[in-house]
Amino acid sequence: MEITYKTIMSKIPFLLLLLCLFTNCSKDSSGDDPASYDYFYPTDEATITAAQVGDGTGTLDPKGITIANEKLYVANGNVLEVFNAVTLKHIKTITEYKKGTTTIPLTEITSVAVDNGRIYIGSRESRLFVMDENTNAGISTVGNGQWWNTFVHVFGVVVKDGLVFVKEKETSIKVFETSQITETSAWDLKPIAKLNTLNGFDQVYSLDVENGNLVVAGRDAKSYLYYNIAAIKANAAKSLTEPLQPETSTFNAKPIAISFSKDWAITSENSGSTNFLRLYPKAEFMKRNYTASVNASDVLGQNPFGTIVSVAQLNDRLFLSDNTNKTIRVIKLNKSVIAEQN
Amino acid sequence: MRKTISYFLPLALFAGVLFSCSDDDSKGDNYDPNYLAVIDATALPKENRPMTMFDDDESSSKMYDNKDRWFRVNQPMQIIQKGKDSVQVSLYSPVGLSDVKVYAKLANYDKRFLIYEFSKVPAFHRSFHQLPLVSGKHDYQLENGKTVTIDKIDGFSSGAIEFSVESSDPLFAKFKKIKSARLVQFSTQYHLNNPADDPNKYLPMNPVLAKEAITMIINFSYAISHPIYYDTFMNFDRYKKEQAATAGTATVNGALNWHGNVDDDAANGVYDYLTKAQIETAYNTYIDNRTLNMAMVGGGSAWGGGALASQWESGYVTGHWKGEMSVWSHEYSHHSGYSHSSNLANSGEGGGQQEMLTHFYKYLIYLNDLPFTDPDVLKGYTKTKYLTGTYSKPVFKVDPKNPFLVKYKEDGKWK
Repeated sequence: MEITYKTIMSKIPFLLLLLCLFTNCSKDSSGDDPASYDYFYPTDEATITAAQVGDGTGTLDPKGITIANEKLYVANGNVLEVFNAVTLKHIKTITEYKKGTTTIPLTEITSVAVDNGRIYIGSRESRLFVMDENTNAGISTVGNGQWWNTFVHVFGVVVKDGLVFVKEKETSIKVFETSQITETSAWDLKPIAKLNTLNGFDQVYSLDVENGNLVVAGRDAKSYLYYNIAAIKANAAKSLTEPLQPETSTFNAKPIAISFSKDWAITSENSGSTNFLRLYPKAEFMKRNYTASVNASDVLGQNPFGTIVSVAQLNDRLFLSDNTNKTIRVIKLNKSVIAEQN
Repeated sequence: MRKTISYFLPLALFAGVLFSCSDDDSKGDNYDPNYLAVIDATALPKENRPMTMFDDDESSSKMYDNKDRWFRVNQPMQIIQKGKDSVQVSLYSPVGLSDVKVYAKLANYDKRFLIYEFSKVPAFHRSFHQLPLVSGKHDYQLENGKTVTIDKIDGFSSGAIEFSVESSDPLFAKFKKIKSARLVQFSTQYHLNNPADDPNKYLPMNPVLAKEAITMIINFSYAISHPIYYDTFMNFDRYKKEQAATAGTATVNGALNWHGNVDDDAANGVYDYLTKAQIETAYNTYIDNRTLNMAMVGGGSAWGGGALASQWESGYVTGHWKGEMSVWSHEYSHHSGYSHSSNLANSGEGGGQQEMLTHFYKYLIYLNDLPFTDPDVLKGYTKTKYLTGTYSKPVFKVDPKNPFLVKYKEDGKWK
């Protein structure tokens, strides 16, 4: 009895090992893991129209927009509108640039950018206004309003990482350093570099900076235009005589607007008479892989988009400057899970 | 030994608990999908608003409504998103289909999944169906047989779902081979604007004629997509030489190959022959996605050009069943951009497109290699109250000297 028991005890590790072999899971077929995807779709959240501006008697002709510190800035005709980007309440209308005794009325505003405590406002009348983000007091202006001086109109602006990119008429983008623009700087600043957009005339342009690149929605070149910022810096002096050319990709639609958020390249594109909101995963977009995760020409089959000249995102809301319909469309991005079963 | 076994069993159970596989494998193998029911479109409840398009007595205003009635010849089974949550299903075919699977594809997910399965779809059927994606969370079958579960989606932007259709029905296999993507519709603009001195230049059509026209254009589109037609089109010079050899003549009659829209000096044998690349382009214009307005003439001649191609009532009712496609192919060539200076739209100069296509079409009827070869699927010829002429049942006969029959014999079927 005793001996038998011991014999079995000694066999236990062996038996366990044997059982392990029998019951061992051999899940070596890779790629069988259930995969999960997200389907994103837009729904209408709100619409900002002229009725929401000031006393509601004015007009809304939205062009460039941007969001900073929960404020939505809208280039609107001869003024800049400021809204609370969360409540969508109108905060104020900025009608002029004021610095000390100097007052310059804002005219034909095309574009706006906010960076590092400053608001940069592009005017078709050949000026870039720079204001304090908090007080809206004037800091400086670049250009004096004469097209034969600093800028031939201004049709787009973006400011990031110490650089100011200003799209003017035809194929030109001028690059400045933010440090060039101070309380005491002159209006006739010289750009540090120049870029060529290949095609272009007198349309509002949309541009943004992502991962060391300036990306321009090249509506006239029919491609997104990529400029490596390190290369701009390295070739700055030379570019003043021969503006740097972008990298392009073959593209069917006409890119109109571009803005980068945490996950997305948010774009608007035009194809024939149809205007699309297209969201690309940011990393893929930067690799020139244009498979849109969201591709919508309307919202739930209603209210087709007009020409969206500028886009912005705050949290799960997208802001679309629909110049055709004279509205800012506020759109929510919803998510449904697509889960593959094994 | 008996004792050994008595220890072994509890040990085995214990080890089983310790080492058993408890990962998704076992769970996944047991996933029990709950798919949506198969739909029989011949027996739909009224909320699906089932109907038969081009019913004999349907008002002709329907067939002329270009927003409502149009189809691409390579997609007779048409799925169109309607609003944010529904689809319209239409079958532009005189014969129904069995076992039709409608797949959907969404952005951000690269696999298509089965969204509707129809056991039967009758001829010229139309109905409306809610998108199951909008009604709630459901299981859908993927093409690889696996399951995907998709959460409820509140609705869709226009065109957000890409639909595609598959079917084991042999008729569908023929539809799928059609390369032409012409958008076919009917238009009142011709017969409502007849010139005063030719009041019957164009005649209004009716659903009986529309059904024949649709049947014919699907057959015609299949014929011009056929590999033997493509091969003959691309090597028309060879076809001409073969014809001459068969006729026992040493020289080719008229133009040696396709020629284009420049006026020719035929008397001196001068033609603007198309290059191989131009012939390829010409073929592609035959099958591209332009709009085709099918119309009917009542005057002295048929017409084609721009979106228009037309022929007489007899062509629609009986001619095409017998393979008499000469007039149609001539007008279709005008519609594709060729004028009488080209043998793509001129039967002179020893025969061009009209002659070759007609021979080929008849050869396909002979082989029963068209989607529809039985005039009794429509019986248009019997529907005298909708027709001006009187007709008897079209009877097809093949000419034993048909050049395609002579060359390919019984082997020309599209495999």
